[in-house]
Amino acid sequence: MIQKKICMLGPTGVGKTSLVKQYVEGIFSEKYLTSIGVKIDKKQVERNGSTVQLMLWDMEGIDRYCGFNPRYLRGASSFFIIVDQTRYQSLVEGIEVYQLAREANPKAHAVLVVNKVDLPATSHWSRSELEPYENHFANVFYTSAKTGESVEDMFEFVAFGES
Amino acid sequence: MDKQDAPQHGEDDSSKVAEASLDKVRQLLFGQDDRYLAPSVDKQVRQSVSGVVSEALIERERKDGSVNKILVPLVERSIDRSIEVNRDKIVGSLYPLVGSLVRKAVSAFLVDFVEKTNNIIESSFSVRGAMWRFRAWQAGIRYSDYVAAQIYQYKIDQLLIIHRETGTLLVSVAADESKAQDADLLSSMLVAINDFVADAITQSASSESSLHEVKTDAVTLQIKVGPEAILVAAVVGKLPPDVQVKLQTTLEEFHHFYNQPLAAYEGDNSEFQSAQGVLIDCLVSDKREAYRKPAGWKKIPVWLLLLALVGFGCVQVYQNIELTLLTNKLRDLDNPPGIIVNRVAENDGQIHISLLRDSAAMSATAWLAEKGIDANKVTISERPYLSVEPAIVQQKASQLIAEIPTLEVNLQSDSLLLSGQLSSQQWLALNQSLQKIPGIDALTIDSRALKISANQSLDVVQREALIQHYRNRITQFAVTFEVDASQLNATQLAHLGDLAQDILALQAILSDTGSAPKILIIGSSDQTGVASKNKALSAVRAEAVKRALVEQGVPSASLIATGIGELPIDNQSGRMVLFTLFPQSLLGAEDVEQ
Repeated sequence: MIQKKICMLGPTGVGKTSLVKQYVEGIFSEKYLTSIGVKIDKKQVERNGSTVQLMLWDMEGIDRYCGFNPRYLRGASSFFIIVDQTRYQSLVEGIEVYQLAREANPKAHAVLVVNKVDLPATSHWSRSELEPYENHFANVFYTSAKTGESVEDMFEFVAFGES
Repeated sequence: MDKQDAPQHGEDDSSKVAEASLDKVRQLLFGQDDRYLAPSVDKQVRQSVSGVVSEALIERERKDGSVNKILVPLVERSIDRSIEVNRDKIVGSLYPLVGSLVRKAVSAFLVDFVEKTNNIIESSFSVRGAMWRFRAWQAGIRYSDYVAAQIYQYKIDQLLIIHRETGTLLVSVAADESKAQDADLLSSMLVAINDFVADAITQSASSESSLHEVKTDAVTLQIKVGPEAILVAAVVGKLPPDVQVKLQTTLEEFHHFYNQPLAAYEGDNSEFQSAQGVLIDCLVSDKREAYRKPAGWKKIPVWLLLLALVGFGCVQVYQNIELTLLTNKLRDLDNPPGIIVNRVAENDGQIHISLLRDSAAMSATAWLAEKGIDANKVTISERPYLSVEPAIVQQKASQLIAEIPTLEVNLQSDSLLLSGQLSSQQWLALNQSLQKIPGIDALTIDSRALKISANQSLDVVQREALIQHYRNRITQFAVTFEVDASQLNATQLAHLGDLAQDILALQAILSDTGSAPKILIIGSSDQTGVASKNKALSAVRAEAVKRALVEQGVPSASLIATGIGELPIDNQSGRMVLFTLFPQSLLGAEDVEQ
């Protein structure tokens, strides 16, 4: 069976853990997140008779006071940069996180996830804001952890390469 | 000088021309800068040099040592550069080799260490050590091996091999799949924890710390880290060194056999499933029972000994109970006539009885047998005594009477009724013997049905002794009365019956001489009341006694009753009737003097 290590990165409060919760039924306590900075869940995805097992490394929220352990990115097949469309600042921070992650793992696919699309976007936010960065990412998803919109798509994309 | 120089100049010019001509020819033949010649010459030179290069290097090194001086810096720089560029590749290639070398060195150290430890263990002593020594001897193994077995009880429940970089599971096996942890998540979490620890405590970028053991109350995770993969063993207990080495060897072999798949790994772990066979060999355990069980033939005496001890204990308990019951039974027994039990005691598993026994009583053994007690279980300590119990007195009297065949005896509760015939001599002897029996006074010997014939052969001494015997008995007899009473009760009448027998016997002896004895019956009273009345009362008492004797067969003519009134002694002793004999010849010398 194919296994893929997927990392969830992004500023604090953008909904990384909620996205994972929407997707899998975790067994580890979320205390792991605050203890060692990461919580791991797994999810098997099937398509056309082939199965891929995703090992989802949900990493602690990143801000100017708290970075992330670059070792957690080693061997990752893909990493999500998750931002919150209700906070423009999260996009700026997300791009900084992307740059750090890219240094730690130059080979992994990067996927941008704009979360909380069920809520109105900030007035500063428009999809054209993303255009300068889109070429850094293999794909961009607009999701809602609350409604589940495009959540499965983003994970299937990292599992099979296309949504 | 000029003439001499001129021809010389001419030679120089011609040689220059020739040289120029040769160059032109050379250029024509070999091309500009030997362009046509160089490839052929280079080829020739490579062949020539390759044939002698090794020998030439050796010869030059011998000659001036310059080869090493040139090569060493070059080689060092090359290795440094190679390590810098291909660090992981080199480590991966060297890992199995270095692992093997390190293992050999560690094994040598461990052998030395274990030998030293063995010596310490062998020479150490404690209560637990003594028990272990005994058990090791019982199991037939070395003491140090037994100690190791005690220390190294373990079981490997699950084995995982994890891709070091991604934390994904490559292959896993479990002793019991139903109890196995989720190997995929466990693998990733272990790698995450390892990364966390490495990030927290690693000092430099070039070196990286790794966890080697994660301990919980129930399970220990033993972690062996390789360049590409990590082996994790979930262990209950403590692994001994040889199993630790086995795990390390397994990881090295895994790297060796799966070198290519590891290098090309991109998440597909199907190629590593064939390693399960190797991992299953590592699911070892040591339950320690094998060391504990002694050899079968050694167990038999132990069990026999235990059975014997239990049996012996049961017998002891049974015997003690039986002994206690028997002791209590003996203490509760009623003493038979002529036997008095002083003490019953248990000592050293035996019962001891101390008793007093009259010679006429039954034997102690017969007595115990009669009561259903085995005399062999009792030690009897016996001392003689004289019993005055009526049964024993009767028995002794019966034995004496039985010696005279003409006599018959009828035993009553408190009397012997004699019948039959015997001479006065026999009667005298029998009477003397009977009087020697202790307690005979309590027994009434009724001889009224006895016919005593006169015996001429009775000599004077014997006759006098017989008269004296009866005289004493008659004169020592007294009947006492209550205050103001003259009636005789049943006891007094019975005693007067004995007195009557004595009087009749005395008359029988005296009848040979023709003399008839007279018995003076003297009544008296105490000093209370009127003296005249007391005198009359004393006379009435004497008459009452006389009547009783007459009723018992004594001729009235032989009896004289009289009252003497008050006696000047204490009041109780004064109320009585006394007896004395007539004629005076029947009295002894002392009586006469009185």
